[in-house]
Amino acid sequence: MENQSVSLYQLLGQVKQSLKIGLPSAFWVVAEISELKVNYNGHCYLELIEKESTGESIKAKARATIWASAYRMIRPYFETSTHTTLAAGIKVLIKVTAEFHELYGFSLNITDIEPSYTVGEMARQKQEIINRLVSEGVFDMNKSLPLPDLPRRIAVISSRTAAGLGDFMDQLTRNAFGYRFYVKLFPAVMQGEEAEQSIIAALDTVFKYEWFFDVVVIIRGGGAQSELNCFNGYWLAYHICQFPLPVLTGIGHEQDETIADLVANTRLKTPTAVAEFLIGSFRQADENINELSVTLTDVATALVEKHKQRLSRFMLILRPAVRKCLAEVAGNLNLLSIRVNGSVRRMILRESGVITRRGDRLNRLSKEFMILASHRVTMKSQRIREIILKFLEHKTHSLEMLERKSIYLDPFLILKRGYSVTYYNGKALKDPETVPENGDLSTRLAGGILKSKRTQSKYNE
Amino acid sequence: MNKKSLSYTKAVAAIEEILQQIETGELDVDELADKVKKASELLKVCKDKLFQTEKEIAKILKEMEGEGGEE
Repeated sequence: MENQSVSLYQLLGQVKQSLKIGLPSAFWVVAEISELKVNYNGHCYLELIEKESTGESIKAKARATIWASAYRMIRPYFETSTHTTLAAGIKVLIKVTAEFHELYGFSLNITDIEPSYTVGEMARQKQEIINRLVSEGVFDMNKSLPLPDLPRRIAVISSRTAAGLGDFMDQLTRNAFGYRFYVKLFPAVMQGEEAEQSIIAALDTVFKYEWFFDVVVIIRGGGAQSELNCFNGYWLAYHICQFPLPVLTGIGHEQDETIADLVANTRLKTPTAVAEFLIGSFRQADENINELSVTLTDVATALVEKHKQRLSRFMLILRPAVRKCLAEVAGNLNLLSIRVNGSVRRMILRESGVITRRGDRLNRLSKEFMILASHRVTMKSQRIREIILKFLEHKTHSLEMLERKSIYLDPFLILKRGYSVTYYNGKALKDPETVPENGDLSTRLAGGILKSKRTQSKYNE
Repeated sequence: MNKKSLSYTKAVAAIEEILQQIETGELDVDELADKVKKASELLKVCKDKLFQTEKEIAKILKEMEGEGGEE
């Protein structure tokens, strides 16, 4: 057995030999890059895989190499054609020769690449993602958000070091019109494998301030054209679609639109274009306000003018109307005065007739009254005469009777009969006590006056 | 949508409504002066939103400092 055996080196040498004979020429091979690294001397080492068509499981895997001399040509050619870097996750069509080395084993030596395959493949993948977003009903969501009339508060997702960021900020804050923007940067990694997750994380942070911001801007100024893969990822697109604020992109590339661009509310080519767009919104609002202001003046003036005209039209109609009306009234007054004149005259005539008649009657009545009254007076005076005569007659008779009676009462006659009257102080004395002692008394007798003085007297003897 | 930009939109809508009222002759002459005054004020509000710094907004932005992902 031992002399039939070969050394490992011999065997692997035979494998190498049979491979050379069996697969002498190069093949064009489709494979996916699962790993890629470039070492210090410029050689590129890759791992190529093929997955099951149904799923993720790998059914073939091989190491591959692009020698530095080839890599220097292949890489720029591929990147300018596809706008993507040669990196893990990309499907490529490559020209390889199968090689075997006793020490390093099996590997594929890549000598050429067909970028158009990758372009097609990427387009297919992109379409797949788009189809998926559409079928999930999210594709148009961000697009259907209305852009605010005045996007003043802007959340910017970008890299602090991005060349376009400074320009963007400057453009907004130092715009020629003096518009006031409020810009806040939410930093994110904008290229490489971490970019997609980093941008999603920044979106999540902005989401916390969703109530504050008007729009979200994703910008990536400068950088290699080929670093766009992160904007073609499903998850970033998914987040942008469902973001509650309008997303504006300015990713800075001139070629195909990325999926992020496709689902964004507004896609602009560069950060500068985004700034211009935002300033443009302000310009439009500004013009709109100015226009409204002018319109306001116009319509208000027009309304006042309209009413002025209406008033002067009224005046035009009113003046003759008033004149006519006045004339009518004057005519009526004239007629009325004539009528009043006539009727007053008639009334005066009528009334004066009545008054005359009344006067006549009064006259007659007063005359009759006078006659009657004078008659009554005559009657009364006759009666008074009669009464007076009767009275006088009666009195005369009474006097005669009294005369006769008085004869008996005549003091002289009484004195004659022997009676006397004694006076003290000129008064007839009736009580002796009223006379002081030696008081002068005079006594009237029929034959004359007897003077005496009072002595002691007792009269109750 | 945040309140401030809505109020800009609302202000513009209010101005347009007033203009329409004036244009269609819906408006009484007696009301005209008031409405024109109101519209002018609204226009001023809109203009201010374009040019003026609102302290409240600036303050909120300041409070946000330190937020955001790492680079």
